Amino acid sequence: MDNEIVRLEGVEKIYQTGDTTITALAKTNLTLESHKLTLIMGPSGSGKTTLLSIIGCIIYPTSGRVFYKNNNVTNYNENQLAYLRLHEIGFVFQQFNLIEPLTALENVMQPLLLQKEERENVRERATQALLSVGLGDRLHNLPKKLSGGQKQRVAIARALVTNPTLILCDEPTASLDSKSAREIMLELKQLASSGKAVIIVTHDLRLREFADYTIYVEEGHVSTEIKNEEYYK
Amino acid sequence: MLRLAWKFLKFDKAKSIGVITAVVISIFLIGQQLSLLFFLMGLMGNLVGNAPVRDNEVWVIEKQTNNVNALNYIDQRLVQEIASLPTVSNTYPVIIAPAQATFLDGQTAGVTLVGAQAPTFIMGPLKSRLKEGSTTQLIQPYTVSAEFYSAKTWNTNLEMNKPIEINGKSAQVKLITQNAQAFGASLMYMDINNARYYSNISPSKVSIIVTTLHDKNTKNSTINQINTLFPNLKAWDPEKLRSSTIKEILISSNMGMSFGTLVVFAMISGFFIIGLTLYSSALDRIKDYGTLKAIGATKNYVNKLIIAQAFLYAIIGYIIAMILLYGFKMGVINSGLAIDISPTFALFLLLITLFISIGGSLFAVRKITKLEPASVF
Repeated sequence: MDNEIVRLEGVEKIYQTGDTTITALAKTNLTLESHKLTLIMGPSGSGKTTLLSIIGCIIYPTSGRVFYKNNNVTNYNENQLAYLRLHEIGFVFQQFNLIEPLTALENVMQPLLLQKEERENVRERATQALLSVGLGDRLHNLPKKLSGGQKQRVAIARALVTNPTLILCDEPTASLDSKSAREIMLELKQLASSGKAVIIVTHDLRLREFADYTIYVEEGHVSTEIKNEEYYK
Repeated sequence: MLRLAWKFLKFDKAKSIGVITAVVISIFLIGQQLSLLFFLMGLMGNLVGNAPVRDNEVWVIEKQTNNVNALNYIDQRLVQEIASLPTVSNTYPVIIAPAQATFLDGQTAGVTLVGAQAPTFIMGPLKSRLKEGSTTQLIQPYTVSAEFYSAKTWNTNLEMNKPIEINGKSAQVKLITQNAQAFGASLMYMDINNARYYSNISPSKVSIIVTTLHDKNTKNSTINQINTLFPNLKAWDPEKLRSSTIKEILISSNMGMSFGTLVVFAMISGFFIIGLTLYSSALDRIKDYGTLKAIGATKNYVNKLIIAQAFLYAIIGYIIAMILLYGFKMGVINSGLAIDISPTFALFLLLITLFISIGGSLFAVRKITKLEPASVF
């Protein structure tokens, strides 16, 4: 598929604690595409975050294969995965995860600095990213001086500043009021329309109106994959 | 990297102050104790240190001792015998003798008389250690030197021409030395005949035979020759005699052990205080480190970030500790504690600072290395 970004083939994640074996994710086959906003839903402890972590190349699957843009990345070492995350994946976290000692601008500059971009160029691109999410007047504010919505916008700017092809969001609206949540979802929808693959883990059923696909995870099983229009029918 | 580390330091002010205080206390204590020890070691060997020792000199003393401050007397005739060796250019007899000085106000003090032939005054003192007067003034009978910094402990004012008594005999201070103290009784320099007169040492006895050679390259062979020909004597390279003196006093007084223990404990306590504070600081920022890893920072990068913070703590702490150490040096200089903070010593302290700071940061590095980027979810 031309639009394929991530493909999971028989991916399974098992945690072993003493004699106890926990299947966090049962054998899963899944394809995620660009230009689409995909929701991952399911109850707490169902394996959503494990699925997101595998898609985001943050943890290794116990078995199966992970393809990123048709490259098998299953056997990549930690540094190779870090490189892949840095250049290809943007993360937006539930608790925003802004680096507390850094200003909004410095937070957004961080991925570019990790990419060893020139500092002047980095500053300009980070400023542009913050302007694009409407935070031009908050460049030099520390995270503690920002509201929840503003923090999430900084997090989105940080995720986008490297121009990634895949954007992974873990409960991006959970800490926000309804108005801010809607604004953030519209921005994410806009990103998907512009060609990114946007994956959102959420409990919030209201977000389905923005999704192209919804994936349900229950007790480690990716049980349903419904195209959104069909679900509403 | 340093810029980011600096941001972390500035943000966590309370912990940063804690770590820097630990570095400052440790390094100041280590610097203070070591500089005091070096000063005392200088005093122990000051009979050699005050002398204008040349490369072609050999000092001959009685064989039983390895300590220049505890000499036995040797026969005066050996001065001529050693002078007759083919490699020897000259020999100078020296008297070292204990005595009691009494001042006009009745104060008394133990002193060590150092008598050498005028006008050479082979035992010094060095010109750089003269405060007032010159050694030529010691040629006159009944004239002696006195140490400026000893005056305080003697509870008396020291001035040129001050009359004093040595072992009940009149003398006059014609030379004031500065920083020519000894480890124990103060050194009083004088002509050898004056020294014999004040100490009642027989003219047939001397303490040291300072021997100069025609050629400094024959030093080792001459030392061997003297040691072979005169079984009751031992010839020394003066610097080796000084080292031997210091070593013997350090061991016999347990001073080396007690200073060493203090320094080692200051290092250990600094290491752990810094280590645990950095560890606690890393735990406070664990979410930030996890986030960095999740967005693409390598394990190596995050470890370097922690070490960079430790490096900055070390540099800041070191600068403050050195300022305090210079303050201490200036504060005690008037009491005769001439502490030397040489570039080598300063560099040594910098290395110790880096060792305890960066070494201490390894607790935090170990913790953060194990941190999975997935922990941010």
